[in-house]
Amino acid sequence: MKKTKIFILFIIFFVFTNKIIFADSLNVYSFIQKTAFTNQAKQFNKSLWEPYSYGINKRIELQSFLLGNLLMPNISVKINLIKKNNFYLSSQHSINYFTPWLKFWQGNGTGAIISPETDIPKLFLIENGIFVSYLINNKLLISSNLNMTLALGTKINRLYSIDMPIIYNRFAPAFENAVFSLKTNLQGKITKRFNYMATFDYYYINSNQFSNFIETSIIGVFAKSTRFKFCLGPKLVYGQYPFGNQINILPYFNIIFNGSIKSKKTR
Amino acid sequence: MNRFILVIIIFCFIECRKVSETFEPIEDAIIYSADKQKNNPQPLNEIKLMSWNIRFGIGRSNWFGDACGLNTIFDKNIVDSTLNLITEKINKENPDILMVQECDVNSKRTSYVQEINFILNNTQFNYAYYGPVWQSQFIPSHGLGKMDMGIVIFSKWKLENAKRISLPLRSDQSAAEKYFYLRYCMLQVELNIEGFKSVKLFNVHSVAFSSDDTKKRQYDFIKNEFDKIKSDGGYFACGGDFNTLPSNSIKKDYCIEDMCEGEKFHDTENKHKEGSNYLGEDDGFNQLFYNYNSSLSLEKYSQNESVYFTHTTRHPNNKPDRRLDYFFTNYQWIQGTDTTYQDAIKFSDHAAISVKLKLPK
Repeated sequence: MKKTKIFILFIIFFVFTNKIIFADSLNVYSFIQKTAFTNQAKQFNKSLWEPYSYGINKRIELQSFLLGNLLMPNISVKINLIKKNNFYLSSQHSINYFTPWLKFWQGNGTGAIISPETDIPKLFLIENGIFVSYLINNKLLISSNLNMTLALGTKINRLYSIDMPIIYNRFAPAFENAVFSLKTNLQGKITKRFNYMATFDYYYINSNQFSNFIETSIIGVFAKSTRFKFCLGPKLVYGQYPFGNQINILPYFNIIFNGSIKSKKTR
Repeated sequence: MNRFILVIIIFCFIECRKVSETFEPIEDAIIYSADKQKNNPQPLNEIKLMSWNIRFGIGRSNWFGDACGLNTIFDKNIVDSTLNLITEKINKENPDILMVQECDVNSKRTSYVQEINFILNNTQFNYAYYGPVWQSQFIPSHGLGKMDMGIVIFSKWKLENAKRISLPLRSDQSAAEKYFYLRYCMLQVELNIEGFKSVKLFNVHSVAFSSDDTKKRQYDFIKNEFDKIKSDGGYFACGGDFNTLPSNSIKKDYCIEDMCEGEKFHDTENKHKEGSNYLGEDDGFNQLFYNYNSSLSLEKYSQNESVYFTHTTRHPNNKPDRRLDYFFTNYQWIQGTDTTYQDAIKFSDHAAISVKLKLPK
């Protein structure tokens, strides 16, 4: 019942909140969160798997997984530092309190993915990164992002890590030391309605035993309108997990929704 | 249950491959060999068989799945030290063939210790034949995570035609439980020693916690496999954890002994604890006793049951209180060689058993 309510809230939030002004034309990028670009003032971007991003002004953008806040209060700020010709440089700073999220998955019985016998301490994930983007031409944008993620608080015993693709490397700071990541993506336009993105993400987990993770994907983006985009593509994940090395090919699906909040007109 | 649905949705997004292995009726067993081959002489007239449910190398620790335990994941040091004690015992008894049940090869609960390699490299065995019973990328329950557990036949000599044969599945579970649950099996290998007739060796681990007729269906299935060998004029020897009592056992209901704090049995709501009441299981299992030679006859067992007990869930003095492990053959055991190692229950929740098989000429 609780989950149904969350789902309904999610739909309401997605469909009915905010007054939308249609963007003028398709951007070369579909995933603004993966670039050094920031949303314009009052413009927003939402998607299933990326955080909600909202432009405070031309240079500063706030990001948050809105629904995720229920279990994992999180906030992130991206600041555009340099915007010169076709070159953009931004920094991003995030904080996540993810103890409730881990506790949600802990327990006895079916559905519990973390063993009940361990104590989950108060833990904050701190992430700092630099984004650079270079607009090669009107149809091609290359972006890179160097990140360091640390956990503040007592670490959880690594016996209880969640050894699953995608999840392990993202939550590794809770069990291991710092995680460094270098992510590069190429976003481009094919036609008026079709965009694409190719990504190559490398994670290095600073640990004694397991260290390297690679995620790479080629994603096709179909623009239903200037507001809605549907994304689909394969994602290849390689990881050095506690049980050994593993490669997974995973399906990637996403819906991106963007627009801006209309200001109230004053007479 | 809602959390379970969420986990399944996550799986749909992140896993293209099968999350849990379901297995064909007959599959090739997985073969392992020791890092360093040991020189073992060919047997003269007999071989010593040993069977042991090693409880995946956690000794007498309080696992959540049985013994009223609370723990799910065990540290590598605990597993390694238990395996050291287990291999010491194996080396002391020096069997030619070892049938092991509940052996983890790459499971989160045992810190991903490769238990087959550990035993191979610390004993006189050169080869191991593995039949997985519980193989899942991720079990979304109690934080179990990745699981790979099964039954193994260890041998000093190379064996042939190693097969994993699926036993009938439980029919008293929901589809989701069934998908992630253990898929019990028997392992078959062929021992071919020059100068002797071929002997098929079986390792069996049958269901423990079913509340339907699964045990009977499994015993019927096992008997059917034995019957086929017998009718072809062949020979077999089988050892394993059959998870039931001899039909002439004085006590058959262990619900009170196995009861955990807060549990209640033998009332109108909770009649019996799963896996602790063995009443009504004689029908199928007796057929094995009546048609084949057990290393421990029912007559011998009835004379002094307690010295033949091989299992306990949580006996305070770690003394076994029931017999669940057996050997059967359609040939001959060497008289007086049947042994129950009750001291070995310190390293598992089962005691090891052994017997010598006369090799057919």
